[in-house]
Amino acid sequence: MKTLSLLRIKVEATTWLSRGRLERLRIGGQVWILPLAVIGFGALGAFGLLFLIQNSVALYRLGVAVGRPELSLLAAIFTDWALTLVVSFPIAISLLYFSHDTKLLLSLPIPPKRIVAANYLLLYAYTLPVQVLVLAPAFIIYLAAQGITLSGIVGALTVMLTGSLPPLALSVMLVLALTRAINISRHRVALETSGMVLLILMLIFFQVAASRSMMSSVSAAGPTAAMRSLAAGLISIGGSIPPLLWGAVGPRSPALLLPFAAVGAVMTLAAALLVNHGYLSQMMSRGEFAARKASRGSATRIGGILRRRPVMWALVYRELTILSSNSTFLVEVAGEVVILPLVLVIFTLVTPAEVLSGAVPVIRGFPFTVSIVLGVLTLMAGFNTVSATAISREGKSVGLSLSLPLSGRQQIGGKRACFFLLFGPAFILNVLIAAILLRLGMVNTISLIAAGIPVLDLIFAISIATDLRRPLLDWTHPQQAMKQNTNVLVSMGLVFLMTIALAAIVIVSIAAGTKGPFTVLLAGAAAAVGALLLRRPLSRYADERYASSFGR
Amino acid sequence: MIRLEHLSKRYGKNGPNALNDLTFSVERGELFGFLGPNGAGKTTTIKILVGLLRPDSGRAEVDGIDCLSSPLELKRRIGYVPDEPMLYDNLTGGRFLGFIADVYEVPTDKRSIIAELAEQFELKGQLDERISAYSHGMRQKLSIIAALLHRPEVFILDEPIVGLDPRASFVLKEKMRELCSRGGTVFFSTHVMEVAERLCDRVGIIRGGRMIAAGPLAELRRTAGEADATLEKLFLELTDEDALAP
Repeated sequence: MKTLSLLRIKVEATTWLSRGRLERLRIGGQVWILPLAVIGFGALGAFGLLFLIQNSVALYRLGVAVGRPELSLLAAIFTDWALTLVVSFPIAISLLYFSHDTKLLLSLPIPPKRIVAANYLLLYAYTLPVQVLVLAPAFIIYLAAQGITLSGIVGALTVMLTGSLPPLALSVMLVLALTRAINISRHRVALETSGMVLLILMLIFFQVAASRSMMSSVSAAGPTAAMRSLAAGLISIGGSIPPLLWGAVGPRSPALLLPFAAVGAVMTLAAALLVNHGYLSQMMSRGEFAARKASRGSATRIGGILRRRPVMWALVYRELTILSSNSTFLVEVAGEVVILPLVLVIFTLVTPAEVLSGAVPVIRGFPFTVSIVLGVLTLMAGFNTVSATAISREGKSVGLSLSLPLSGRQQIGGKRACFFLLFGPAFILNVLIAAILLRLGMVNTISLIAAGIPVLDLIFAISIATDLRRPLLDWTHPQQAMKQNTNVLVSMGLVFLMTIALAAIVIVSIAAGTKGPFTVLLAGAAAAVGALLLRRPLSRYADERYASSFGR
Repeated sequence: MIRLEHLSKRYGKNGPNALNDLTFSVERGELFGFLGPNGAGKTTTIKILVGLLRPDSGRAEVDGIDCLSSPLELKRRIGYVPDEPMLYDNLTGGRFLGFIADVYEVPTDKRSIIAELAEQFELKGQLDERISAYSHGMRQKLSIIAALLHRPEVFILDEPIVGLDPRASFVLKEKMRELCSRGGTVFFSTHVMEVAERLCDRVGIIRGGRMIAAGPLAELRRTAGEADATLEKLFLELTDEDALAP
């Protein structure tokens, strides 16, 4: 069996691009999910892209001002490397060591090097969107400004397609080293959560750099000192890591593309060989050790079951247990809960005081400000993967939930409580930070919090209904349950439409003369009515879906 | 055909010995039942035999192929049914079998065996369904078909009867017998003593990673001095912890 055939079957069998899933959508008349998914995904991507474009423009201008027009490309490649290194780390752990099909493939006469190659290609495919998203705006802006040439296009494509190979190889080698150093199966969650923390720190770093580069425009007198230091820092990084510089000047000097691509190819080959060498032996030596250790550990905690607790407590505990059962879930929820507050805090800290003092009165004078804050926070809370996968996450163990003497409404009650436990405090924190940043005042802040609670309830109702309708329970690795779950995209699309509906209410109310906090309170009241109206049919629907075991 | 010499395996530095100097062999044309209480080392032995696990010491070979040094050659030669079916839930049964046939490079003109086996195991009507919709028994049947479709010379099965309906169980036993009569070898673990008693040429009983008895049932009876004892009775006596305690 050839590597590409193996890759094809892996894509078909382990990702949501499977023919079976798409066919199921078609048969079930669910094709409408796809455009809705595109809306949800597109809205999220558009925000990110807008941010990257603005940043690339600012960095390009800075590069021209300091005589290094390739500066924006250098920054983009460096960002891509850093992000790929961290993003690919948990995926490499999942694909290379914890993929559920590894045992099957190893039991077949498939050379391990083919399994490694297929997994490596899949890993590359997973990280490709990140690198294209990060690199494309920078290259398009650069080429548009410098003149579009054939060599420029070839250079851009070469860097975009091979640019992430070195960090990817490094990530794979790091995973391999970790498997040698520690029992990765026992410390997997801790490792991947540490990786997430690292990712958050990196995002903060890039947020600082991006905020500065966007806000400190290059005036006629030249770039500010802060911008000059940023440029110097980037140039210094390029000097220390020559391949970064080769990639950045590649579109102008195509000869340098060859060593750039060669570095990636050599590192990839080395990583693949190392994994191939260590892969089978790791799998073969590990055996059932991890499971044995886990079972011994759980025996020592048996005392905890003697205390009686309410059903709701047990259900919330179950949700938290599922969320922390593997690093993919844990990292996902941690990211969604802590990233926005962190970014807001950093934004507050790095924004120059004079910019804030100049901008805040203008922003506050705008009649939609408080409503926009609610809208942004609603979207951020709505674009979560936690509520729309609350049932899917249970996977095959949903049988256990179904066997419990609990109604569907009780089951989703536990999921709702867990959602509020996670996103309620995060929402309040976000409101408080926004209030400090924009000096919104006590009344507006309280109004935002009061309006936010029913909005969160409505978001949960919409998301859980999506998952109740068609939970993805037959996933083989946790990535499928959350990140690759189409329910998330459908839910995002619906939440986006819900936000538009609430925005329409706000606009109409302002046009009718409503002012200040009343606009958000009105939106909150509308959300409360919506959530209230949905409550009974949702409960009935949950009862029905649980009673029918989701049609399994 | 199957030869294990002084095989030892320990999980972790301070873990218990899963296998302890295990030595035995199974000849060509023989149907060998591998018995033992839970945690005795049956699955560990099988995993080593099929090239999925590396022993700490000792040697295992199947049909002259070293399980450790030539795992690919070994896997081409054997058919393996694991204790838990290892399948791609997102594929249909037919697509999965197609994939397995591709891996074993089964020629197109010999792929009719897929339909034949599916027919015999009464799975033909479900081959277009996704594996995720299969019951445990259907998954087990699919796993058995997947292990048989390249016509292996050695058939290694870990608890294959669990979850099978009576007809599928019967067909499987027929297949095992048929393979042995063609000169192949069948090695399987089971907790169903009646099956082992009626089907096997020889049985081996493992406990604490050591082979405590091996041979034809008649020989085991003779050794135990109980001419009419059932295999179940012999097994219970041989694996009785109190009886074995010093």
